[in-house]
Formats: sequence, C-alpha cells, structure tokens
Amino acid sequence: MILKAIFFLLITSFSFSSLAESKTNKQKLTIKNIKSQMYQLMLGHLSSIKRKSESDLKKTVTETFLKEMSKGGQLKELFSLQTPSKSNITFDIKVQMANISKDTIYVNIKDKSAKDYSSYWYVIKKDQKSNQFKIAGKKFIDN
Amino acid sequence: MRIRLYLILFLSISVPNILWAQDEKPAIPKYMVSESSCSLFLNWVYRDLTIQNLDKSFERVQNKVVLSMLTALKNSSYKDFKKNPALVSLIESMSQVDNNLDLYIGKKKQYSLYKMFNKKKLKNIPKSKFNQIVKEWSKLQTSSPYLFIGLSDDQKFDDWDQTTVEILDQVADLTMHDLDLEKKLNHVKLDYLSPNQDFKVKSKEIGIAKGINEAKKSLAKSNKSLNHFSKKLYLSHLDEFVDFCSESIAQKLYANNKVICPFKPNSVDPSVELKLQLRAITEALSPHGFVRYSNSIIKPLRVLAPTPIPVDDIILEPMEPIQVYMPLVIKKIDYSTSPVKGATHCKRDANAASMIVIHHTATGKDKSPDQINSDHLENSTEGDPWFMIGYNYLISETYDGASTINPSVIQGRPDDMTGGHAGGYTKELTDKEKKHLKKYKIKCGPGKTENDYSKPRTIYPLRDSGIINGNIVSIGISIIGDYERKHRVSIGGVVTFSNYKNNPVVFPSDTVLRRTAELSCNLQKKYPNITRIVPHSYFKATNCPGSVIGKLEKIRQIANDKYGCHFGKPELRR
Repeated sequence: MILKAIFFLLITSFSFSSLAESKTNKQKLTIKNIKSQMYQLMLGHLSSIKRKSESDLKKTVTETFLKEMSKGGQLKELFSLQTPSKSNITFDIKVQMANISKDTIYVNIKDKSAKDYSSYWYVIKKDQKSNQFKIAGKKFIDN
Repeated sequence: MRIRLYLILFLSISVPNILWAQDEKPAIPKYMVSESSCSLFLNWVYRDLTIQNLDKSFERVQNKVVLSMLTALKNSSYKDFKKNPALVSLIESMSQVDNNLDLYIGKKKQYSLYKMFNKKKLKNIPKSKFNQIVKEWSKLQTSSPYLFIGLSDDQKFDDWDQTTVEILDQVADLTMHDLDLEKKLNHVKLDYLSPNQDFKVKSKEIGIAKGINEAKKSLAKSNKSLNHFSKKLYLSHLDEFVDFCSESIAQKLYANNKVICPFKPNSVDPSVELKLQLRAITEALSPHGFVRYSNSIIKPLRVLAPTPIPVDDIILEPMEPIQVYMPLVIKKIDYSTSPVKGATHCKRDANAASMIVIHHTATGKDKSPDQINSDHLENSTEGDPWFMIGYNYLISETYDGASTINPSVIQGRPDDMTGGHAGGYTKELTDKEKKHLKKYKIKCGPGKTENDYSKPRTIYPLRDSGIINGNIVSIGISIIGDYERKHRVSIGGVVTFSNYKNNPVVFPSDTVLRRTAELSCNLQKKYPNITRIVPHSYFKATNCPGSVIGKLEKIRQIANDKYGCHFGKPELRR
C-alpha cells in the first residue's frame, strides 16, 4: 500500500512538473515568436523608408498612420533625408507588450550604439482582416 | 439763402454736441466689452512700441546674435559640431556676415578641426537673411539649451525680438503717418538690408570669453536704453487714456516691476497685469473706437460721442466671460485605477521629495486629465500595468472652465504615492541626503500576487551605488500640451522622425509659467525639502518637456520673486 502511494506521488509530481515546464517553454516561445515578428515588421518598415518605397511602406503601416505620416509633406521630407547605403540595416530592438489588449503591442527600437530608447513608442496593432501586425501610430510614454 | 444754409450746417454740428455735453459720462454698456477689442489694443501698443524703438530693438537683437554665437562656441565640443549641423551652418553664416567675428571663431580649436576634417558643403544662410539667422539661433536656444549655459533669460531671445524681426521684414510695406518716424525707419531698413552689417562687438581682443563679456556689456547697454525709451513711450500712451489709467498708477506699477514693457527686463510677469490694465481701458471705451489695421500704423481711435441708443432697443448679445488670472485652486478628480492586481504602487511620505520635475504631455491642449489617466492605464513597465495617472499634477488651459489667461491645476497621483513620471535615477546622493532619506519609509503592495496594504512590505530604495529612483524623491508636474517639435532619429542608417507632427514648436504662455511657478511654490511651502525644479530630461534622455526647458529659469524667478519661495538654479542634467 505504502509503495503504491509513493509510486502514485512520484507519477503525479513528475507529470505536474513537466506540465509546468512545457507551459513556461510555450510562453517563452510565444514571446520569442512575437519579438521575432516585431523585429521583421520593424525591419520591413525601416527598409521601405530607406528604399523610399511607399508601396512597401503600406505593407507595414495602417492607412490611418500612413495618412498621419504623409500630412503636410512629411513623408516626402522623410524620404528626402535617406542616403543610399550598401551596408545592411542592423538594429537592436526592444519589445514591450501592453497588458490591456492581446492585439496591441508597443515597440521601441534604437540603434545598437545609441544609449537610450526614444520616448515615442510604435503602437503595433493586429489587422482584423489579414491577421497581420501593422504599425498604427506612435505613442509618447513619459517615464 | 446762404445764411440759412450756414445756420442749418451750424445747428447740425453743434446741437448733438450740446446734447452730448449734458451727459458728460455716458454709461458704456458692459456687453460691448470683449476680449478681442482688448487684444487688438494690446497688439497695437506692442507693435507701436517696437516700431518706435526699432533702431534700439535691432541693436539689441544684433547683440544677442553675437552673444549666442560666442556662448555656443564656448560651450560646444567637436562632437556637438558633428551632431548639430544647424550650429555649424549658423556659425559659418555669421562669419560671412562680419569678418570681425572670424577672430573669435578661429580661436575655437575644435571648430577649426571640424572644418578641417569635414569638408561637406554647408548651406549657409545668405547675408540678407538676418531674420532667418535670428530665428535659427532662437530655435537652437530651445532645442539645445546646454549650448547656451551662462546666458541669463534676458540675454536669450524673447517675444520682443521676434516682433522686432517680423517688423524689420515688413518695414518696406508699412504706411507711415509720421514723417520723422518714417525717416528713422528708413535708416534702420538700410542697416538691416545692407550687406556690410557691422555687429556690435568692437573689441580686437582675440578670445571667446572676452568677446562674451564685451557682448554682454553691449547688450546690457542696449537693454537699458531700450527699457528707458519703452517706458517713456508707454507712459505717453497711457497719457492719452489718462481718464482711465492715471500716470501715478502706471508709475506705481513700474516701481513694483509689474508692468508693462513687453521687453520685460526685470519684471516677473507683466503681461497679465498689463492685460488687466488694458481691459480696464477697453471697458471704458466703445468697441467702435478700435480700427482694424493690417500693415498700416493707425492708432485705435477713441470715440468721444457714441450714438446714444434707447435702452429698449439694445439687443443683449451673449457676453464673453472676462477671464482673469485667479488664485491657485487644486481640482481633484476621482480617477479610475487599474483593476489588475499586479498594478503595484508604493506609498511614501511626500517630505521625501526634494525636487519638482516638469513635463509636458505631448498631446493637444484639450486633452482631459481623465483621458490622460486612461492612456496611462494602458501603459506597463516590465510587464506590470500602471496603477493610475503617473503625474502628480497637471496644468490645463482648457479643462473645466480654464483658459489661457486662467489655467487650472488638477491633482493627478496623490502626493503620498510615488509617481510614475521620472523614468530614471538621481545622481549619487550625498551622505547628508542619504541620512535624510533614511527617515522616510516607502511602503509597497506585496507585488504581482495581491495589492494588499494591510501587509505592506517596507522597502529601502537606496541602491548600493548611492542613487535612488527619481519618482520617490520628486513630484511631477505636467503641462497639458505639446511643446516639442519633430526630431530626427537615425536607426541603422535609416533616418526617421521621433514623431509625426506637422506643426511649429510652441512655447508655454506666460500664465501657464506663472501657474507652474505658483504650484511649485505652493508645494515647496507644504514640503520644505523641495529645493529644485528640474526638467524630465534631468533623469533620462528625452526631449520632454520640449520648449518648456528654456523657461525653467523663468518659472524659478516667478516662484521666488512673486510667491516668495527659494528655489535654486534649475539643473538640466544629472
């Protein structure tokens, strides 16, 4: 009887710990996955600006944000500031998820050599139709 | 026949005057008073003062330009030149305007080195564009205040200088009614447009520090002369309305440094008092007495005999409320707080605070405190959602009946709760400061699992390196509005904008500064350990609070001079 009980306890503790481990791994994988998605999105966004391609830019930003970017000739100004470069774009990225909605992620990016991140965060939202993440705006987070 | 005609003409002119003379002081209906007529008069006075003083104002701007250049040269390093093309362009433009300045520029080794190794062709501002030079320096003073350390507020560019440059641009289009004035303006115009402008630093001494001293002396001289002349002119304007504002009152206001000259040499905040005075004058005048002007110099006319209107015929139009700067009232709001248990926050004794941190919200001025609270509830730090609005106080020009003249103050996070605004740590505390802080306990909720203050954990927030979280030792005041302009950010060689704003940079109004000073002083009286006012950028690399950073010294001055506080000089960086 005692042996049975010990055996039962061993089995249950093993199964619970493996369940917990798998949950943590799953979580880690999800965060890693999202971070990778954000990295790709931001890379695409920056590349489209660098290449001065409005059609590619549309793939990374929502229509509303594109309008905001274009207002008063800002997009033209932005494109005019880009200088051609042969080297690839490399940057460090920091991702922060807001706890309020599953579909909203704040992303901040900075150059590897830069010391600090900006106070303006990219607001990334999931497009309901295409189920893809797009930049919906920038948000000032002041702390 | 001819006699009859004369008689009719005589009667038609004199009878109304005789009738009018019976009622010497006609009651002017209150509903005629309006903010717009008052501001029209105010604009006219400012404008007229600038025109009359244009030669002296121009001299003052020139001195400021030279002083800005020399101070920026003194405070800048090789890196500054490299990262700040606007500064380099400006210095280059200055050297082409006046060869004499090369003596000073050449003395700056880092600048010579920069020129040697960076042979990029810079876009110089043409000689004839003096207005652009002034505007660019003015912008630089706001965006890079560290380049102008050592300059007091009255040595930096102000509204008066902007008005001067604007008028200098319009000189050719102005219609003069005064020949002497026209002659004077033509003379200034020639000076302004001349390609051989001679700036006012006359010393042949080579050395930036000596040049700065000389430019400061020269500026002080032109300031004094301008102030004297402006005062005289303003009083002569008041003479025209002596029935409504006597000279003795004006002199008294001058003695108290409360009025009047927009150039504001020593005064604390003259514009508010000036507006009140002018409102009193406007109240006594018919609105028909003001003539709209564009570029012509036409004084507002004073109507001596408004046409009497029978009382029954008066149609009362809705009266525009007259806004006056009212004493400080702190409005409280029942904010919603985060329902998330992990939204931890800490309680403190507000006496632990030693500084006030100034922010701006980077939003429209019409954003309400509730909306800001909602925005902050969406934020999270290291996975923990924010408990509530991060600022301790907000200053609004629109909320709950507030206006530009009478901004309101709204309580954010209570004083006894650590704020969520500083975003960084203090510099290493002195032993005295550490000892002082030990007296205060910071009590936080147990953390992510529950938010139960019945069993709070007490923390000792001082880090081993002797620094402490800025939120614990400060109170955050945020001005609702966007005082920042678009900044360029380079990421992996791609230039982007930090934000997308298609608007020019704005400055906080005098009344907002006054309200900020009043609130700061109020807090110092409540918590005497508060001795400093710092910008948000003191704690972290941020552009917050935008152009307000250039006004911190003014806030301090108002708090000290007008409200009797004792704040030390603002520190811009840790």
